[in-house]
Amino acid sequence: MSASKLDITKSIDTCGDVCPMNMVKTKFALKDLSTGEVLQVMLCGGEPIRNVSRSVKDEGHRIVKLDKQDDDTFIMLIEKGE
Amino acid sequence: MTDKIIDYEKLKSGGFMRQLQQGQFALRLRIVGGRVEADQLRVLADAAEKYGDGHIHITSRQGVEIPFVNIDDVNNIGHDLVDVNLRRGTCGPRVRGVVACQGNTVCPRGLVNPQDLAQKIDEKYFAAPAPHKFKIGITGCPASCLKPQENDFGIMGGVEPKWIEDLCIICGLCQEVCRMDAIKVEDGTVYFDREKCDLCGDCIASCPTDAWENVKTGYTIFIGGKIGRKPKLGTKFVELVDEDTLFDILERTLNFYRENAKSGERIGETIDRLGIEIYKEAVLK
Ligand code: SF4
Ligand code: SF4
Ligand code: SF4
Repeated sequence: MSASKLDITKSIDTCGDVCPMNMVKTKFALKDLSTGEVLQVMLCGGEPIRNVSRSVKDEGHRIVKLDKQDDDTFIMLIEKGE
Repeated sequence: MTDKIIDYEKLKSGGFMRQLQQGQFALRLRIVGGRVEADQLRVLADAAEKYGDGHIHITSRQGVEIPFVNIDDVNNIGHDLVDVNLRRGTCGPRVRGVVACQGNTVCPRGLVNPQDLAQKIDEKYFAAPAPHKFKIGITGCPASCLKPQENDFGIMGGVEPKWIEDLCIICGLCQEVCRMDAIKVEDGTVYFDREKCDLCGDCIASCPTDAWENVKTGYTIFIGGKIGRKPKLGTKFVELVDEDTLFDILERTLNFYRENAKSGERIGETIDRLGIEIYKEAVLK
């Protein structure tokens, strides 16, 4: 699967960050976007994915895609909410 | 007063525990779910200086104790505390103080309100006589911060997820989020294994399109847990019951315990001796 159909406005890599830094980085990156724009986040499985997806949803944004990479990391596409 | 005969059992039921030091007692307070108000803390601090040696002990079960209270003061100390609704605790063969996490009053993962439930259970059963000690612990979700499995009667909040096919975009997130390996996103559909699910609700909280719906919130109950010399985790015997059912089960459990325990037995030992099926038959109607 590829994410190329969606226009990605910004991209960040949170692999290597410990919780809750991945969440905080994602939050700040989303701040800079306008509603409807898409943020691409690279993150690790397990706790980071749980925390980031929960907080993204709680704040009214929408995860539009999640792709697992060969090295067990993930690429998450988040559409900025209102 | 020191020349009178001291009734240790009576003192014990009123929260006074004899210390190693002659004539000194530690006063245990009745704390529910670890909640203490600021005005209570001020009065506690004053009481510890006035009647104790100026320190307070925080117990392993969210309790508060004032040690080094002289036997001559055991009747006086209560008066200072009662104004801020601080009541004396209990020890011995009784229902003990209820421990609880903050659940959905504070914690983002909380699925139920353990604080409210702890208050209600405490009101109804605090210090109720039992064959041996009877501990109740309530935790707001399967993360089990309040260790319900270590209690004679452990309560855990839970939710039942249901997948709604029409809303699902097959993104795969729920599979990654689930810690119990209960979800597989494959071949353009979602497989849910209810046997593996621990009712944590992570899938519901994470799904971007709300394709996981919470169809039931309730309490899962563990029976017969204890630590002490022969530790044993409680056994999960019922899932997702509502509050009324929970209170029915608790009432029947205490009756079962009183009717069936041999002297000195914790309820887990009674159930081990008689078999869990006999217990379940007695409390689940
Ligand atoms: S048991 Fe659950 S609700 Fe309670 S404090 Fe832990 S994570 Fe929060
Ligand atoms: S997270 Fe939601 S949308 Fe994504 S696969 Fe699971 S149920 Fe479907
Ligand atoms: S409720 Fe928790 S354990 Fe059950 S399927 Fe959802 S994420 Fe997995």
